[in-house]
Amino acid sequence: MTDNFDAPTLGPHAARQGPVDTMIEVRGLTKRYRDHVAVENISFDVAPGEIVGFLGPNGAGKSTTMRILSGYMPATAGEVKVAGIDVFEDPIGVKRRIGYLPEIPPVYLDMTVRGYLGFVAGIKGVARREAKVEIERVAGLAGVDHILPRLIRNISKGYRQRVGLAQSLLKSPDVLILDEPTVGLDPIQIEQVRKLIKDLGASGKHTIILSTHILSEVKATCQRIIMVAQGRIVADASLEDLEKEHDAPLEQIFAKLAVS
Amino acid sequence: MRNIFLIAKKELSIYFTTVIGYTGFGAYAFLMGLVFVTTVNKYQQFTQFYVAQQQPSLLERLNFNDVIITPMLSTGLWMFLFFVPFLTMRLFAEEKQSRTFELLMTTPITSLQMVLGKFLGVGAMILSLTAIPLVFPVILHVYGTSSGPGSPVEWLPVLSGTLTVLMLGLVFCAMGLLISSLTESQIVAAVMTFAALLLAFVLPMIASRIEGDWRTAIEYLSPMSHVQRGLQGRVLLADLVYFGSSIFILLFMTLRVVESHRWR
Repeated sequence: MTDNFDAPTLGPHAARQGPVDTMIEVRGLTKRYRDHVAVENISFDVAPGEIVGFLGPNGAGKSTTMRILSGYMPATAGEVKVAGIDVFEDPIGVKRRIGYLPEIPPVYLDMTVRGYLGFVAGIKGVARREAKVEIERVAGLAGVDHILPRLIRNISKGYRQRVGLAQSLLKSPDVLILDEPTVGLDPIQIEQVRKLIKDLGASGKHTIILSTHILSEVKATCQRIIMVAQGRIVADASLEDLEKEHDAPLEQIFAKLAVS
Repeated sequence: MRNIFLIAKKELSIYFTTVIGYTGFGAYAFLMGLVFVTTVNKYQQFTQFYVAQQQPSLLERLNFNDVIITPMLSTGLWMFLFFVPFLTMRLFAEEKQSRTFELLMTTPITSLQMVLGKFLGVGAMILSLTAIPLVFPVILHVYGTSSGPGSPVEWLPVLSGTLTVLMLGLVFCAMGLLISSLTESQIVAAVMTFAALLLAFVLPMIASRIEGDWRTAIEYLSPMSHVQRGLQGRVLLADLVYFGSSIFILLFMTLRVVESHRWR
């Protein structure tokens, strides 16, 4: 049962039927902080409309990868392309096409939910007369439409997380990068957010890449799993393929690969 | 251009959702009022003294501009030492502390738009602050009596003085913005800005203790040696160039600091 763990399809260059048209293209991505290597030589492709789960234990390099994809920080080495645009050559072009939810929701505590979403809509280039409709659309999707007039300082952590999610949906970006989108939510909200992610993926308009260390989350939302541990990709396959290949449930594969 | 206004609008909206705006304006108006009352008292004392001494020639030369308005604006400059750090400390430090900096860095907005927008926002606050003391010349105009025909207040020196105060305030704001971009802590930003502004105030005193070229250089660099002429009613192009180029250099340095975050 455990013999299969050394199967040749595993590792950073795990064989995968690469689609012709790729939305996210990552080649040899490496990030070093002084002498600490956070991400080492990661490569993968994401097809348009795919929902990919970035799974790994804390400190595996998930957030670092997300931050590089979103153009927040540069890589030490490697190449990242979003919708064919290089993140290092045309960061603004990439930023026009992504919606990004960082690990800690980037909200201004001293703004109202409506004011905040209006501000982000503005800097994302939503036209002034379409802003109201767009804000109500994303607020409805994220389930914060009933708290629009409230000050963010006065709403709960779960709501702040959802305001952050609403912000990432503004202007329907091609690519959604969600860093631990369900952290801090209660079980009902988690269910709602997972359903939202699935629906967004099913609409076919968004390519979604989300990071998490919760197994049930990838099971519930993602078509494909990229497992990372200590800055390297240890597995990259669909859930069924992964379980078939290892002949074990995801929990065991994760436990095995994460420590290896 | 729209992005610059959006950032400025956001900064202003935060100043007035929190107590920063109201306490700032309230405290500034109150303190300037105290300064005004003090200078008016001094004017009365002068008048009584000259009348008692029977010196009509000196009494004739006594005027609102020289005895009340210029000293009031000049004393008011010291207020910036507290009010500018109070306004600028949060500009970048808070963004970094609350992680909203990550939002700005991942939306299609350039570092230049960010810096200019924030400067515009805090600049609007300083503009409103420096407009407050204009009430006092108006009071003098309404209640004061002129020895000759026309207003007892000469308005051009009042405006040039206010313009000078505004320019100095903007230089200080650019300084505060730069320091705020260097740290994640608002307290550190406030203390460092206070220290930097205090240094600006004492530079002429330092200069007076040394001789030669160094003295000339330090005197030129000190913003305080560029305000005296403006306060007395003489706006010189040289002073305006000094203020403009100081703001430009400080904003340029801020821009480089913000951009450097993209390459860390």
